[in-house]
Amino acid sequence: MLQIRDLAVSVDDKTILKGINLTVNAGEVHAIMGPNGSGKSVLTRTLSGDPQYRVERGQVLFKQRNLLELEPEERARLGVFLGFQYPVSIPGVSNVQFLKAALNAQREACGEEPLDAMQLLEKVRELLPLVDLNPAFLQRAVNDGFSGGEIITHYQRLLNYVKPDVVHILARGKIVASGGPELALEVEQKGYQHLAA
Amino acid sequence: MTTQTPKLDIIQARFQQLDFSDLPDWLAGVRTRALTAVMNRGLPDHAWESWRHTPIQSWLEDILARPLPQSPLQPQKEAETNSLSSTAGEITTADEAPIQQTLLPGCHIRCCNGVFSASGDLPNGVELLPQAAFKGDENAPAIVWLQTQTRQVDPLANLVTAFSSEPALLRISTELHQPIHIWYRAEQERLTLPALLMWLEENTNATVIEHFAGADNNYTSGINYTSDNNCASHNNYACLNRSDIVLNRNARLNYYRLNNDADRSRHIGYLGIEQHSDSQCDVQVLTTGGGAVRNTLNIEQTGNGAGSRVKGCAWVTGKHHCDYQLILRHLCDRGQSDAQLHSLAAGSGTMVSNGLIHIARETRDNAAEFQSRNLLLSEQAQIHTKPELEIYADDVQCSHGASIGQLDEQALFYLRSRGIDLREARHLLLHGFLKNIWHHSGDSAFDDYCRQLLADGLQTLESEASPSVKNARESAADETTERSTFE
Repeated sequence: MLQIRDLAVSVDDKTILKGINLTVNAGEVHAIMGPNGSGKSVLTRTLSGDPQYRVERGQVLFKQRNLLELEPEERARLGVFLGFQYPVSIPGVSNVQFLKAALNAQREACGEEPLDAMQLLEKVRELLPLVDLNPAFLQRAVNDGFSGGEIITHYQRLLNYVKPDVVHILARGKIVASGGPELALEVEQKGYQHLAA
Repeated sequence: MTTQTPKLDIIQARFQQLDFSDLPDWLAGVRTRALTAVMNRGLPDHAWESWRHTPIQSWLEDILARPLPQSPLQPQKEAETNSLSSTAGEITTADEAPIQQTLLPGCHIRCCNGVFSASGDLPNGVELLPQAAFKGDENAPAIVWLQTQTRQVDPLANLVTAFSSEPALLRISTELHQPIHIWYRAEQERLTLPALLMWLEENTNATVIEHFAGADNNYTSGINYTSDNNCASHNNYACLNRSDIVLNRNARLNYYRLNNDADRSRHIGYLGIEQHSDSQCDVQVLTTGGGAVRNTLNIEQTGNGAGSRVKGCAWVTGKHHCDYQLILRHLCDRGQSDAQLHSLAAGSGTMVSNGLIHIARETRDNAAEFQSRNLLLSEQAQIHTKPELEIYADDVQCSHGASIGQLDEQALFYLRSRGIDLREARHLLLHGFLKNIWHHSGDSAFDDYCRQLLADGLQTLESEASPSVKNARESAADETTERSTFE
């Protein structure tokens, strides 16, 4: 499903990823761990198409398509989704506007008719209780005015719900070890140093 | 001889040609003193700090090359002495050219080529009068104000006072439940100098819309021109306008100023607001067009407990030039002010957005804030902004700030990473930038019109924005493609 071959990426003329090789098959959950600055965020943002990162070499194939040729929105419509560690605040753009634009972009990509404002609101009101969200949230600006707790998107307890099939250790821009879930436990006990050496 | 001398000589010579014989002495005196102030102060040039970024010298050369309007006009005939009303369906401009129009319900005042007239009946408690009509009533407070107001130092505003065709007084002595719409228009090549004093008596409440329309003739709330195309975007009129507003004790005003001038026009506007005790003004300024626009907003709190809120929004595209000068003077105690200007520049446009907060000596408990936020959307566009504080008292709470930036690339990426294409993402961000700066007036036709102007403006801005983000992305993709030979 996802194949990454010898991916090297730089930002501001500094090479961060120095040849990543990774294969993810359909249905597998992969976790990438690594010390601060090892390149985890750079890898995910590069896959999402963040224009601030420059691909120096390598290839990425997703569902048989060359991912690096695609615009960020085209990648998103294929199903590449990046959960931002620090969500970008967008004052003046309400969540409902944002949802409408994002949903209709996705519908258009799937050959479906776009929803008008009334249809969207109807659908959103139907779904709000499922995620236990206050309707007032719809009129708030995207990621704006969040409290400290609301900003946090990466919890350790996510791992209680998401069980990886494969764990990779990223250090100094390369994957230095791969293994099963036991690798995560090993890192927890011994740290990264013995793997990254 | 300075470079100004020929211009001042022209002004002096033209002033001497004016016939004041039918004007009351007090008004002739006001005009003469205004001219004297211009001659003493001189005309602005690029050496003046507030005119550094605006080519006023070439503007003035163009303006002074135009014939003056017939000034002053004869006072109204006896039957019309006490009001500036006209027959609905037809107005007569200074050169007697009739313009057919359709009037829709509402409270409307027109200013065609510098001459004010009401469209139909004004509500009870609202009067529109020529200042020249005050012949035996020189002690009326508004007339006293006109004679004694000496703080005005803006020479171009004084130029309007000296030469205005027919300065008018709009007196509001009631609580109004519908907006008063003042619609300005000028014909091709014209130089117009409209001057209006709006006088809100104590404890009154009003919404006033001043609309300088030159760019199109589609606005149908009050007047729908059907027989001429002088309002088209090629109109190259020049307008120097002066509007003074006096808010007496506890008066409340919602004021809207829309500059939708024609592409080739020049507009130098002055808005002075004097606020007495416990008065409140809420000012909204929207500038969507005009080849060359300069707006000076001078708000003075001359009574305790006054409150002023200003929200301004402007954009330039093409080779347009727009200049905002906001001056907020706290001259008494317990004043509050909050001013925000949002500007955008695309194409080769130039935007100037300056704001000054002045807190006078020996005043207490004033709070003031000024923020200037600006978005630069193309490589050729320019934005100049300068926030200033002049604080001469200790017991104050003031803040100011200014920013000039581009669209946030991370915000664009965030939206795109959710499937939204670049064009729509830019549109959302631009819309968000302007969203909180414009509030509705309550006049539904005007509000719809402004919404349409905002939508059209966003479209033009987007089309004239540099495609740097997209190009960067495309060139990165091109390079990647060249190197991609996936096995």
